[in-house]
Amino acid sequence: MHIDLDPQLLEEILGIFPSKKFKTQSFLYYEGQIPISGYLIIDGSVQISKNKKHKKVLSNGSVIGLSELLSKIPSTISAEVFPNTQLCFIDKSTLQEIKLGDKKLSDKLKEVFEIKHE
Amino acid sequence: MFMKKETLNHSCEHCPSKEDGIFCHLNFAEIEDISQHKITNKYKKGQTLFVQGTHPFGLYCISSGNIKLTQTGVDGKESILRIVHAGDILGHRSLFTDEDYGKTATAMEDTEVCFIDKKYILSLIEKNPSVALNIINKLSKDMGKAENKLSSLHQKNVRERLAELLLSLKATHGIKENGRWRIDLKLTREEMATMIGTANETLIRFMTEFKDADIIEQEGKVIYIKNEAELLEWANIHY
Repeated sequence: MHIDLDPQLLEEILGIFPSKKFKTQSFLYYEGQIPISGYLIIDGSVQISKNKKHKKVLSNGSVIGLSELLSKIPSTISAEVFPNTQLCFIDKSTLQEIKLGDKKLSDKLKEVFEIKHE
Repeated sequence: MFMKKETLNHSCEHCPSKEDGIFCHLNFAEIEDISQHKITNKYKKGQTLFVQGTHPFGLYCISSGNIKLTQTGVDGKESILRIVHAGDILGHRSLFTDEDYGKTATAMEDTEVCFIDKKYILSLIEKNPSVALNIINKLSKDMGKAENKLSSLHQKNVRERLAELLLSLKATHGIKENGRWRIDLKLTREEMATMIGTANETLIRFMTEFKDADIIEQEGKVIYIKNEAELLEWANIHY
């Protein structure tokens, strides 16, 4: 999925979830695995591959791994982050914490990230 | 984007490494809560759990298999710092610091690993301080091992370090078979050499010396320890 990263929304998301810049190229998750976090690309790119063949390169605003994380279903793709890419980590614990403590924010995040499974 | 197949979500209650883990003293309900929260994945040989220089987000518990922790120097050379196996945890140091990973973790064979995010672990520690004590215990042991390794690198010669490595592999991966110990871990000579801080050629020379002395033998890539007492003498340590 892809979200429109307007500055206000971006600021709000970054205030909730941690973000980091990757110095080195590394796999976020491999095909057949459940991602350990959902990832929102803030700045940079992530390469998607299947059966060791490159499929596409995702850029700013793309969200990957979140549906698989929340539904605990293995991904059919591998995701590899390129160096100097900044990613925001949408972790399960923070989402659950918000769900229990702030219904309005929880509903908003569900809408933004198109969360169906929990 | 989804793969419709059976997901790995083994209960911690039935984990082969439960007795050695940091959560082993928790009650059934608490263990079940961790089981519900964690992510269990399989890593194939050569796949990385995390890469040196990336940011940690939680704790990895090894259910099965072996994982090597390596560090790449400025010259691009890779050294094995540690091998972790079933029952071990990874990333526990990062729970209390905000430092990036200093090592790369790579599966040495097909392995099964559970991941628990940092926020969950920290909330678990708040509710069960004994989990923190277990982590401190683990950190203390890690520190002791690191100190021993450092002193070994400074004070022992290559022969002693190789003997020590073989004994340590026997302790973690040894299987008693027909009066000898089989090291149930396939390491290349290059990997073994980096583990004791020597050159490949030097390692080969000393391996031959150990074989000639009938202390070890090798069948393909598998190493057998035939004379543990002699190996202890050569390692210059006394358990």
